[in-house]
Amino acid sequence: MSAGLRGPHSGRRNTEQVGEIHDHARDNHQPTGTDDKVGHMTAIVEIQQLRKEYSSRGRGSIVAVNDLNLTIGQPGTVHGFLGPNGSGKTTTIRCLLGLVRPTAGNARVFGADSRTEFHAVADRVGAIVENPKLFPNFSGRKNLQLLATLGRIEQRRVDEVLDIVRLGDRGDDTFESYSLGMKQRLAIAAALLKDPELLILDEPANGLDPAGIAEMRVLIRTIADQGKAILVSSHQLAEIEHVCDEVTIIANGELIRSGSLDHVRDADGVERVIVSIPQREEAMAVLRAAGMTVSAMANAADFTIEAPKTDAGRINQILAEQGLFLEGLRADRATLESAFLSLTGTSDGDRGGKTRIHNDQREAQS
Amino acid sequence: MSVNTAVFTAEGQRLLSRRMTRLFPLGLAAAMIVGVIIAMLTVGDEGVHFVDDIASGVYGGIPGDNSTQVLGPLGFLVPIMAFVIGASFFGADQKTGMIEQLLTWEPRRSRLLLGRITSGAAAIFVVAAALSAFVVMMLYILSSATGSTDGAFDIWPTVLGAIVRSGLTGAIFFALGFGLTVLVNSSVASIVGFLIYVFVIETALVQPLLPKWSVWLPMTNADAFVSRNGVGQGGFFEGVEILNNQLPNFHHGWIAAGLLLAAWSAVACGAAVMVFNQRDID
Repeated sequence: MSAGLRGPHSGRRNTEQVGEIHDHARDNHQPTGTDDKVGHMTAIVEIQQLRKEYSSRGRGSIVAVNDLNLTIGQPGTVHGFLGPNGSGKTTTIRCLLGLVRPTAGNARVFGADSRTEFHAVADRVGAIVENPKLFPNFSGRKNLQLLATLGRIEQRRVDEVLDIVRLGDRGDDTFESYSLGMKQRLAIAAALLKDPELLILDEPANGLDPAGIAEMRVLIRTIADQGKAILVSSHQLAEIEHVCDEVTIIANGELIRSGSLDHVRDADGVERVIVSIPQREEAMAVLRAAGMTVSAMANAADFTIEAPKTDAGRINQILAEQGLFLEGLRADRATLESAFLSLTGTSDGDRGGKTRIHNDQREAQS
Repeated sequence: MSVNTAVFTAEGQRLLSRRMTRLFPLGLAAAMIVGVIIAMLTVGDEGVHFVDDIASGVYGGIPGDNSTQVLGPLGFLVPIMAFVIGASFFGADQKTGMIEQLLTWEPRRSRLLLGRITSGAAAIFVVAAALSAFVVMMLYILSSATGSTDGAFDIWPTVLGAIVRSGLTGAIFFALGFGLTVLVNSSVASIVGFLIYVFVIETALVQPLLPKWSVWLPMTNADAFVSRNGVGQGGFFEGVEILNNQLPNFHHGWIAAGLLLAAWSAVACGAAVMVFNQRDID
């Protein structure tokens, strides 16, 4: 599966020198992440105060990204980029790739300003934005061959990446004849052609069946294990949880929480235990009377208590003294999904939407 | 391989691999074959004479001469073909997201756009010239079957010149189509607009109603350039510049017509690059 992944920039041209952005780490085949002439660390991705507004004719502006900060510093890291639909994930990625111009702030990749200097680092970045975008009438191989020519990459690399994504035997079929999963894999192959140090994947599991998602998960983890940094946006939270080391959650274009997976999962900092007991209402009343915060769960016999699992003995004792005997008691391990829902409040369906600034609001702000 | 060469090579290959680039010229060639077959079946006793027909196509008929302009239709068909291919080369790739994909490989937008335009124009030059050569070949076959080919090889430089000019016209209109499509950001709008312009605005309105303006317009000049005619108010068929200059309604010759076309195209491409450089790709 990983054959060819780590090829030392196999078949690559020399990185073009462009002013101050020339990267010594690459020339020296260092892993990545480090800059530079003075030896200090440069983040792989660094977003500062990023803001993007779209004008909406006659209806003011729509703020897609609002003062967003984000840093990815380590090679070999999978960084999940989460948010409800319309929360600004793709706009942020487009800003990173220089496709969209920020209204304010900046996005830097390997130290290069995405808006003006991205060309200097483009061959270190592989990306898929939203859907796989390749020419439908060309074969998978032809699509990759043309990209390889454009990127001055040796043609043998095409077969290497087709093998990596297990499309070697379907390479001569047209792109339009591929299943969605195959299209996603071919798009990843295209992104891997450059043997990039940073891979940006926007919703790579979109539309995939469970087997395809599992396959994608393995592929992402394998690529990261080869030392590449991966920024993967998704709302497939369970999948993100399986592959990510770090997570950033945004909503309304604003940063909600960012950090290690554990840090984000522990979103509200409250530990809970789940109690199972047939006399749920009675037990909840007893514990409330004892000063505990309890919440019923969907299952008729279960409820949660805000307490560390070390309080299990005390909880058991309080209930037993009232003749209530537990069927079960376990720690409520926070999931990324619960943290995500808690942080973004997406159950109301509105948090993810873009903020519209009406002209009168804008005037008031200014 | 330099970056410019890589962009030129990759995008030229991409254009030539597209169905549109293959099927449109093949369709025109098929139409030519059908036309020749019909001509063979319906031509009168005089038959078709290669030299007369080619010469009348290249130089234009002397006023009062009703001989057929064989290469004349190419001055009309090649621009339309090239414009449509140019428009779809940007529009289709924009629609499928290929432009976005390509910009993650070559983020310098001017370089990508100009690379696409130059490589595409070069490819269409070859395609249009090949199509013109095919027309000449079909005429030769028609002439040998029904009339005469006497003197055909004596006029080969003239024929070659017409073929080259047809290729150049194709290249220019490819760039025009590409540039205008970038500006309006839609190949459908660009192509439909162009066809309305050609068949309604320029041909049906401006040429008969505003002949002073028609001398500046693309299709009038394309016809003159391919056929090596001069451009005059109301249109006429004079190929010899000296003769043209002596006519009261002469405006400019075929070289100026070609330069004017190139200028239109350059303006469209220049504006396209400027607009594309500022545009959000989403």
